[in-house]
Amino acid sequence: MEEILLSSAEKNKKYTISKISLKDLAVARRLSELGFYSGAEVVVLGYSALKKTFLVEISSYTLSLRKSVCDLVFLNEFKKN
Amino acid sequence: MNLRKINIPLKKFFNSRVKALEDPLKILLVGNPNTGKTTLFNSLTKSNEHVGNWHGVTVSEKEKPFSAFEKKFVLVDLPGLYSLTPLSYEEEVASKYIFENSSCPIINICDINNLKRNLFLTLQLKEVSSEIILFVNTFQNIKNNKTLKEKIKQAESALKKLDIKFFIGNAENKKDIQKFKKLLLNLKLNTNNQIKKIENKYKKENNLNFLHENREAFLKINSCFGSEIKGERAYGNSKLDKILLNKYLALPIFFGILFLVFYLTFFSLGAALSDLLRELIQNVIGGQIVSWLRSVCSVAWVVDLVETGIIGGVGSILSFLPQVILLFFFLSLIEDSGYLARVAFLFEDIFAKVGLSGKSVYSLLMGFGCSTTAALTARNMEDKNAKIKTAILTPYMSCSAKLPIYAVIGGAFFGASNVLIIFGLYMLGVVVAILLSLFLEQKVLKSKAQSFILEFPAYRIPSPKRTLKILWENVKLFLIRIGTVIFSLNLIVWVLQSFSFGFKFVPTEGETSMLKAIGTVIAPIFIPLGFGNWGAASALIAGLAAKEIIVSSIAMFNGVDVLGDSMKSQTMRSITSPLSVVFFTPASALSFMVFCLLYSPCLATISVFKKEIGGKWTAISVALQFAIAYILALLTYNIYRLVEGLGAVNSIFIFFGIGLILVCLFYLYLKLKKRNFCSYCKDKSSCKNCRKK
Repeated sequence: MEEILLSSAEKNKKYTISKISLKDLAVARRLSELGFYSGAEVVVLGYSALKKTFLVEISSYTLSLRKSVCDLVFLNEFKKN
Repeated sequence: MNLRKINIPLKKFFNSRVKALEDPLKILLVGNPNTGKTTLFNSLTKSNEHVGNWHGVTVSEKEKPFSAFEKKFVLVDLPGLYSLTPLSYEEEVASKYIFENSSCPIINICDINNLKRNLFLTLQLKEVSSEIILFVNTFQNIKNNKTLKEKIKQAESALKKLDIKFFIGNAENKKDIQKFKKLLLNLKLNTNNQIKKIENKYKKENNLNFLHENREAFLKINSCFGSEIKGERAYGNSKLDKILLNKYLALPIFFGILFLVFYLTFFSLGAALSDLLRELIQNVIGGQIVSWLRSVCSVAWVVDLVETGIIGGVGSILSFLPQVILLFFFLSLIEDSGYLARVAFLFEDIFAKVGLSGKSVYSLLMGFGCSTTAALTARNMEDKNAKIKTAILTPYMSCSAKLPIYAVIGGAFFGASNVLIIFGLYMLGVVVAILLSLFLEQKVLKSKAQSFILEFPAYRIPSPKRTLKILWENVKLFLIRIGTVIFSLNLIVWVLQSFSFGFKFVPTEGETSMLKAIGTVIAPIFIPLGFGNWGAASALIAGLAAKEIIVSSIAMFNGVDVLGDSMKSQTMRSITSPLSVVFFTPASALSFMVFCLLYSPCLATISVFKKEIGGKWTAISVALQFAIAYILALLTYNIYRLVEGLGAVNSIFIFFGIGLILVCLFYLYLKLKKRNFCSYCKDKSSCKNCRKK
């Protein structure tokens, strides 16, 4: 299955997190503390005007993330079991 | 001698043990940001600490004693944190405090609407302390709320499975707080002796297995919760955001709200209330006192002190109280409704380009209220340089103390269009701050790439109780400031203005007063800016201590009479007359307002700066502000005069010309910048990939 970055995910489409990149350790740790773990479901709700900030729904709450942060999250398409 | 030597450490040891047993039990209040920690702190300790619907309102620890059924405790409110591994300065404060006071029991507070995520920290805290009690905040009363009851049922079953001592209630409800206090009676000192080991585990560099461990923790939490509650939207996701965060509507809506706030504060409502209070102070209170004093006292300087120094000076500031209340009222509505986090999201793109983060919006918006508190909130930045930059930028936001300057000086020259002038001044401050940040980012204060991860709070109708609390706190501060700092400074200015160096009373004319002598030496510096008279120069010096003093000093210098017409009208009339000590033309009035907007912050802010960003950056910041204020006031004065001299038609051509040149320069800049990009993919970041292909 092809992996995509959270920053290139389609709006309002459900995805499953496949992995978190450890390129920025502190940010990766924070993401994992906020519920970004492999298998968690995620939806992009919207973008800012310049598409540099993303509004993301994860684990039943909403977060605003900078594109550089979204680039650390890899996704797979969501498939219902 | 020997015995004494041996006794000291023993005495110290026993004292510390006795102290730990006898002292009121210290309890730490810990939780994720925006879960209601300070609300619970206020309810338990009957305090009035500032609360808001925003991440990072509390930036340092606060201690206060309280008692529950005659047992005494000390409650410590800590800044919010997501985990024991800190990412920002405020989180570092909290996590350090928890480990340093590991023997203290913990109240962990969670939001019922966001419990799954909040419980992650709870599991970490359970490792640190065996004495922990969870307060699940419902934010509203439970009666007749079907969804809330369903959530409580779900929470109860999950928390039982996780084996956590808990209490579910509203942190603002007195009955719930009384019930919760009963549970605190069972708390005792924590006896966990593994703290060093645990602390080491949560140090960033020591544990690289976090991805797996954190996943396990979330899976454990999720397994305890049943199915999702039907029809419930994710926390922080609202239909309202479709409009408020719309690509095309978001910015016009934000600026519309801001303009409405200014219009209501400075004109219509604010101006009417301010005039009413002014009438009351001047005619009912001030007039009576002065008439009585003139009839019983023949000492000229005593009458002048009361009339000019006290009633004229302090009264002219006090009459702006309604406008200050309105400004804080609207700021508290923006903050409490949850809109502030959306504003941070809106401005993140622009702020990221100048080395800041959307989180800086909170500090900058607070700057419209008071620069001193705004500078403190810069602590929620992750990067040291971004923190310094945010703190340095806060005084460029026009604080409420500058409000009388714009109302009196702008009102005298620009009449009804003054609302646009004031709005323009506020925007000028914002633009200067952004440009300065860009300059600092490129030259001296380059920030680390920041992460910007911001949780969206749910929208909520601002609570009248909370809004009133915020208002009362700010009104109290304003009145205390008037009664202490402003009153004393007015007296000092009055003494300097009324006495010569030989300490001879010089009421208005004749011999030179001390202030006139000092002001005359400094005044020539301001000649290029259009206000090179000693009065304006002296008012600016006095304004270094507190900006409110500027208007009262001007009223004092121009001999505004308490018994005459309205003091505000008198001051406004006097500054347009060249015969007055302080007078302006429209060009110099605008230049004076620009200078006041941008020059040095007040002494209170400078002292906070010194503590937060160090002496070196404080000195640089103050010097920079003077330089920027001088240059922009000079430009304002000369451009206004040029436009005035050329007439309306020529001015339009000039403005179009300047606009065209700016557009061309911007286009040129973009062209030059584009050259650095990869010619194949046009994207700098993927150039390496292109070459590989």
